[in-house]
Amino acid sequence: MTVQQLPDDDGVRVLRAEGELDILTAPPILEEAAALVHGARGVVLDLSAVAFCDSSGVRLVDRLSREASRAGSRFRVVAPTGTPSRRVLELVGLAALLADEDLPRALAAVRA
Amino acid sequence: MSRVSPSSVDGWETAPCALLTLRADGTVLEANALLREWAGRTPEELAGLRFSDLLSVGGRIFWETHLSPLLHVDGRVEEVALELRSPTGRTPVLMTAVVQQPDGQVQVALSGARERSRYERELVAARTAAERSAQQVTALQEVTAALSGAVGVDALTDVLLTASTGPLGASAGTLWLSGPGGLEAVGSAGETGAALPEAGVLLHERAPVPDAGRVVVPLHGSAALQGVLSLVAPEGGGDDPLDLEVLTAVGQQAGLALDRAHLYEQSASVAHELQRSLLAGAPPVDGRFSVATVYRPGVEMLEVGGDWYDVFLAEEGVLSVVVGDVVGRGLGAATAMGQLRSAVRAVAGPGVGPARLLSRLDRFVEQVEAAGMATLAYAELDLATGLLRYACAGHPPPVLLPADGEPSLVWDGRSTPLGAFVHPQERSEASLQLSPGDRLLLYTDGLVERRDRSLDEGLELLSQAAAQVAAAPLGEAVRTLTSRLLVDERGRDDVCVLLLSWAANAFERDLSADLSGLAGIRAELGSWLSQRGADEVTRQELVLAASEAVANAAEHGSGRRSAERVTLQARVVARTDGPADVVLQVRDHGRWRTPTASEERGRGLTIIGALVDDVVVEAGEGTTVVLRKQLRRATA
Repeated sequence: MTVQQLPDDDGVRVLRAEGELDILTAPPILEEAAALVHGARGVVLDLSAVAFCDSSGVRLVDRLSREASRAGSRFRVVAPTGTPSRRVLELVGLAALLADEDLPRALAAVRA
Repeated sequence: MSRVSPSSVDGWETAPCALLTLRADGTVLEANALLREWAGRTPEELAGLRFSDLLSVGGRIFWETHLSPLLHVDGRVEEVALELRSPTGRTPVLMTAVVQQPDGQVQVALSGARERSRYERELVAARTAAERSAQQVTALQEVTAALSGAVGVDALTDVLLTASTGPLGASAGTLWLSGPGGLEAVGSAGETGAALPEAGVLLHERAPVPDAGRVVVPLHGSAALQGVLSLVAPEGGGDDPLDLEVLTAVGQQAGLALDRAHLYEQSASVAHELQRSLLAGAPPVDGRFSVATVYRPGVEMLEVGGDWYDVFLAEEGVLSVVVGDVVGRGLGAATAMGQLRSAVRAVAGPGVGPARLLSRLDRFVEQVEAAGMATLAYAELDLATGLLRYACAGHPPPVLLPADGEPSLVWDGRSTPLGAFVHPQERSEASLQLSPGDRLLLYTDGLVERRDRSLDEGLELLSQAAAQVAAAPLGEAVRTLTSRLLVDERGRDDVCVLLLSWAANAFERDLSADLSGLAGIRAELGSWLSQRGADEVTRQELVLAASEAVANAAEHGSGRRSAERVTLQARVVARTDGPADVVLQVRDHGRWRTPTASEERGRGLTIIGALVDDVVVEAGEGTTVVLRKQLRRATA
């Protein structure tokens, strides 16, 4: 499990997650949540390449959205229909609030 | 006539023993000088007294109830110990008295018994000392024997704590041992939370130090302080309730025993590391079978043994399982074991089969002398059909544990140990058909052979234990069975136990509650579901539900402790009213429970509930969660 922080573009930051997001891999990233959103005016968490995602992934989305809100930045998640992350976010009712089908739409949403 | 004044009879007055003449009723008639001195009375004071008035209370009673009647009957008493009482003290005496006829007067002679009393006191003191000395020797012998019989630091800890409140006579005790971070409390008997004695005492004292109702016994090894035993003196034990001499000796012996134990544990861990490395290697992954193993190294001896097990694919779809035992111990046996293990893998292959494999191993052990007379049980399982072919070379019989029914020993397909001088022309083998859920147990003789019972008894116990664990998940079953059979065993021999389950239709894994194996189990469950024909969505959803349930069980049922296990089972269950269901069962064995459901846990349960058709939680010994979901098959 990795979360790669891409260079900010016009104050908007993309966090690209890869691998399996579960009870073992999520906690270290949760620790970094504040730092991951620090200084950005908008943050996009791209989960499209995540191969497995359970409630720990939901926890990560929840934490990042909280930290972003605290820092005054906007936050969206890329979770295309049919991916494991999308399914879990749908199940807990977060998909409709935070998820976008692809990166351009998510970027547009945080810049709006 | 009363004659309590000095008499003129020759020598009577000045005799070196006290002399009295009594009237028949016991009244003093005459008393010589020594008697008057011992009695501390003048002739005037003696006049009219009875003899019993001169005695201590005990003596008076003795006189009245015993001596006086005896005198009347027998006419004399001899050498009776009494005490004369004077206003200033007591004088122990030996009395001889004779009744004189016809007037019934009593002549009494009293000799001093001070010397005798001292002698008797000395005798008592000597006997007490001898008894104490014997107790010391006994205590010391007991503790010494226990110390020398203990193997390893843990066993020594037990011995010292048991001895503290046993032969050493303390009411409680606590033991600290030197570790990397200084002295660490390792155990207590009869108390908790005792404070570590002062460093100064420990550094400078080599002998036990009494300290505020306790005795601190330093345990010095040859080079350094190995630990310290602090004992509580029993209440009401007198001035010296704990024997410092014995404690000194025990402290010295325990220090040296700890030296040895540390050396032993270093060497033993090297040896066992070697053997473990020979046993390492992940078994092949396939949803159609499961294998659980236990390897328990012998603890009584330093050398590694020659026991091994192995699980590998002899060919595509055919699983080989082996448990073997090379004769002897030590590096030679371990090396031969490694070679033989490799040889089994090299020889097994398409078209070989158990009997021919053993014949080829016979030729191999002709080259490797140390592997001669090795025994092994070998079985090949056709994963598609459940046909099991097996052969035993001088090895204890495998146990078949049917999914339904009683366990039975498998006595067919037997022949001599490898490389035996007398051997049959051809090795024999046998086969049996497994049903889904059947299990086969292979093991080395350490599991059933013990000095205090026959092999038949051991096999009978094994069958009973196997019946008792029949319903348990695979890993739990093999661990429980092994510990039942070895329950009060001293651990002289190595033990390897392997339990194979042919699932065909079922999936069963257990993993540590630290969840380090979780990702691997998801992958295995995913491929098992694909083999069962599940479509992509069903597969993903079941894997997610299973993962959540396992994480939940590990976190909330077992506190993520690595020693706890969580079991995941999956099976396809046919339905009469429609397509089959997949039933997932997640079981934890922990006793610990979170009092309140956390937010994440609630989220996990929400997700599980949304993914499957039915959720049932059964709490009992541990918690079992059963999830059921229709098996939607991919369209061909």
